[in-house]
Amino acid sequence: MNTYNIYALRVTGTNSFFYVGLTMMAIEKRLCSHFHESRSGVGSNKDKIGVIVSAEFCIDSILIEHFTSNKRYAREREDYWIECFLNDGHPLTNKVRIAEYKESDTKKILIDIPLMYLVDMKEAAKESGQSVKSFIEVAAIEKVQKIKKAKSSK
Amino acid sequence: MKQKKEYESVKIAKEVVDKVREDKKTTGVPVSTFFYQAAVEKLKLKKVSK
Repeated sequence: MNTYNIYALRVTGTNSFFYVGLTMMAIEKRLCSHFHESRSGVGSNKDKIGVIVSAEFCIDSILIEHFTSNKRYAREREDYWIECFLNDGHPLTNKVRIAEYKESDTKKILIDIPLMYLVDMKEAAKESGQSVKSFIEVAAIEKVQKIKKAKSSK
Repeated sequence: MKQKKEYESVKIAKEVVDKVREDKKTTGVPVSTFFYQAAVEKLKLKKVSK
C-alpha cells in the first residue's frame, strides 16, 4: 500500500486543464519534475512540454484526490479522472492514456494481474490446456454471458 | 531502493476486448477491471470445485 496523489495541471489564470497525473510524490515536487523535463527536453510528452514552455512555466498544480491504495486501484482512479476531464472538454495532453481511451476499441489491452493470483492462474490454465491469456479471455466472455443471462431473466 | 514488482501484465486479444467493451454498459466496470475480476472469480470457482 502506498499513498497516491492525483493532480491536474493548468496554465495559471485559465480554467482548462491540460494534464492529469498520478504520483506518490507531493504534487509540488512532481510539478518541479515536470518543469525539469520541460527544460531539459527529456520528457516524451512533447504536447505537455509545449504547453508548459509556452506558458513560461506559470502552471498551477491542483490536487484532485489523495488516497492510500495499491498501484492497480491508483491507476484505475487516474483513468477515471482522465475520462472525467476529457468528457468535460478539457484539452488533455496525456498521450498514452488518451490513445488508450480513444483507440482502445481497436487495440490489444494489457491487464495487470497480481503475482499472487498469476501463479494459480498459470496452474489452472495449464490443467485445462490453455495459456493464461486464454484463461482470462474465456473467463471474461463467460462472465459477460452470465451477466447478460441474469439481466434478461429479470 | 527499487520497489518489488507485484503485477505482471497479460495482453488480451483485440476481438475479446471488443466483445467486453460492447457490453460495458451491462458490466458496469472498466474493461481492464472486468477482465481481472472475471479471471479471479473463475480461479476461485476452480479452487472451490476441487
